[in-house]
Amino acid sequence: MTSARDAFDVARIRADFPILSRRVHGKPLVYLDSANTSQKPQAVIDAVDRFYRETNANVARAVHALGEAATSAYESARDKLARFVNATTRDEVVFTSGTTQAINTVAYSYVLPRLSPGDEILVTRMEHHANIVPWQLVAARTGAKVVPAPITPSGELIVEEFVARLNPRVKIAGVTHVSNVLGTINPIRELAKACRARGIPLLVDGSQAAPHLRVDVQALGCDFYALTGHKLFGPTGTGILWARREHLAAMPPFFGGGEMIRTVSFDGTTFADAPHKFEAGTPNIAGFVGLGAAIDYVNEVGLDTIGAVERDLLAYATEALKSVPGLRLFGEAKEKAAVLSFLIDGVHAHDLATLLDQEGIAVRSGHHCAHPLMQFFGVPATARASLAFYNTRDEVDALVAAIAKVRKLLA
Amino acid sequence: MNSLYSRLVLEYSRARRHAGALGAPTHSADGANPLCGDAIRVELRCDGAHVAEFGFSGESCAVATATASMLGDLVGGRGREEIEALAGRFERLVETGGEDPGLGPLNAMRALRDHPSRRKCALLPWATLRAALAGRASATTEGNPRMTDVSAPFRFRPATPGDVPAIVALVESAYRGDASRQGWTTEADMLDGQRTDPAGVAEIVAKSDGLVLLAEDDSGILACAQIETVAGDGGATAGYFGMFSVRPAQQGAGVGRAVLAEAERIARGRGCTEMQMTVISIRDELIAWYERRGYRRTGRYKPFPYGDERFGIPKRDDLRFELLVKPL
Repeated sequence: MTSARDAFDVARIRADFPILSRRVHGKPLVYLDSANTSQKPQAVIDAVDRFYRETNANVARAVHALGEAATSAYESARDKLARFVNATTRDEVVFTSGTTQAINTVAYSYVLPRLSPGDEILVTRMEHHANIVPWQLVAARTGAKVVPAPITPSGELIVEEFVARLNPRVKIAGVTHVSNVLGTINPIRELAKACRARGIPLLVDGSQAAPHLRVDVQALGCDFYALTGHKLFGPTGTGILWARREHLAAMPPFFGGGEMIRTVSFDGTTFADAPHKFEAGTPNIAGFVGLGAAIDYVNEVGLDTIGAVERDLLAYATEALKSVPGLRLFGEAKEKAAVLSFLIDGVHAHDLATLLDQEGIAVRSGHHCAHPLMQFFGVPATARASLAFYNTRDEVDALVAAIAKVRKLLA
Repeated sequence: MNSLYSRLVLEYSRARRHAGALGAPTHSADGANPLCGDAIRVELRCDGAHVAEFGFSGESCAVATATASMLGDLVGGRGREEIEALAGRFERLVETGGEDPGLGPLNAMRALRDHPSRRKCALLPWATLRAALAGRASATTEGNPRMTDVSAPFRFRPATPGDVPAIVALVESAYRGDASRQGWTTEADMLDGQRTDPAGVAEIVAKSDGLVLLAEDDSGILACAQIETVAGDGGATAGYFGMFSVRPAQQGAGVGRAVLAEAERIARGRGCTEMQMTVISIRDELIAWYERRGYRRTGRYKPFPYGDERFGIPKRDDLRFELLVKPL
């Protein structure tokens, strides 16, 4: 690991991301909001650009040269994503607009038909709204309820409490792989094993995990895995639902329309096989071509290298922030991705974010689409710095220096 | 470090003037900004129709706290309709960055023009105050950044001859007499007498190439405007926008802006390539309002009809109309 980090040339990496060289309010951009959306390497921008310049046509319909080329480029992204998450086959990869659509597909196509009054959907206290609200909507239709498993004050899931809630009324469990607020990496293998032993399917929200650590759905042992492309250095409006083949085969379509059918008549319609059954309408073709390029880019840098670089940055940033007087850090799990949520005594998160922005530093402030987690910590909002492998120790130093300036002004 | 966090804003935010619960509030409301999770409570003790005491509590950012502190200074002794009008003026101030001497220290929030994502922070105390005055228990800035009252949406329809008396009353109330002083469109200092009359309005409503557009809700007509098709420059077809009136108590809540936008939409649909209107040339505030919406002064004037009392009795002798034009 150390050798991978030592060999890592961050200046060369940063040169791959054109936006990182721009200035904001006259200061060099310090982008610490990658958990919100990541920046895009030139290779991704070029792939989208080239697609529209040279290949653009609709997929899976046209038999002309462009149509063939577009279909091939689009479907090759599916191959890349299948390998990226280690799916058993490419047909287990359903293209979606992102994690939200992926989870909604499971909620409506898989879970809703199985729900009865009194049934439960188990989630955790640290979930993003995308892994809470779809479940609440299907629960409200059926008289089922959504149950949260508790976490510790340091932001770790209490595994025994989670397992204790896996009763026969639970029809699915939904857990985030990495918390978008706390950075906590959840022990998915252990949770999946417990779910599997009780015949309860497990959905994993991988939005924040895929950009930072190796995802192997077979090794994890989950049933569904959702991820989003725009946090994975790809274009917005892309994502996947990976699901076990037998689940996809048993699920009815979620959206109806073109591309997802075999035959249509007014007497009845037969549907295409998965994954196309779940991909009604013309998809975000160029977006997925770009996502394919993003996967190539990540593989080229290497997830092991990315992991090592980010662990180093996280350790450095954690120490640096802890040295700031009056700073409270949220989320100190032992297994953690490079996300730092914090508050400073006497400084509101929004004021902090606006003032940091004036220094060219982009952080997120607010509830991070995780109201229940904010309620757990008893705060309305936090500021969050989220790092990627293109960030540097100098940028962490710039953050700390700017925070000191803000404290002087406001606290 | 930033013009939004001026010395004044920081002082008011730290001082938390008017913070704390009131002993026996007559009105109260809880406001929430779902965007950031901020919550603020406003309590009022009203003495008849006027605010005697204002108190706020809750956790909020410096922008919201400073606004609430300043607001407490501003609203003492004022009535609801006056506060509604001030709310509209404050909203314009944070959008345009323009100055408004009547808003005192709240002018510091002009810097929000350059921070659209933070405007709701300053609107939260206003929205909560307005909810309290309206007898509503809660307010939210969500999906309601302009603070228009979502519980009372209005709709558009063309006027019919039966609407003429109501239109005349509306036009008069917006421009003439003391009632009009509640709103900012008043011409009471320039003109006495009538603004228009039933015969004149009936004629406009009956015109075949014209339209009188009404905005109304369950309480009746909120606003009206006349839209005509006229000849523009160089043979172009132009729209003419006139008789524009908004009920004084509703001014500053976005109704007028919506009526103007709807009129432009209608004119475009008729093939008009520009919209014209005339404004009394000394009405700088009104002209500025149109300029913010894309209208330009032309320097072309029409004389005021001195001596024709159907259009009012002038109190000064320098009135004339200027033509304003906006390309559609």
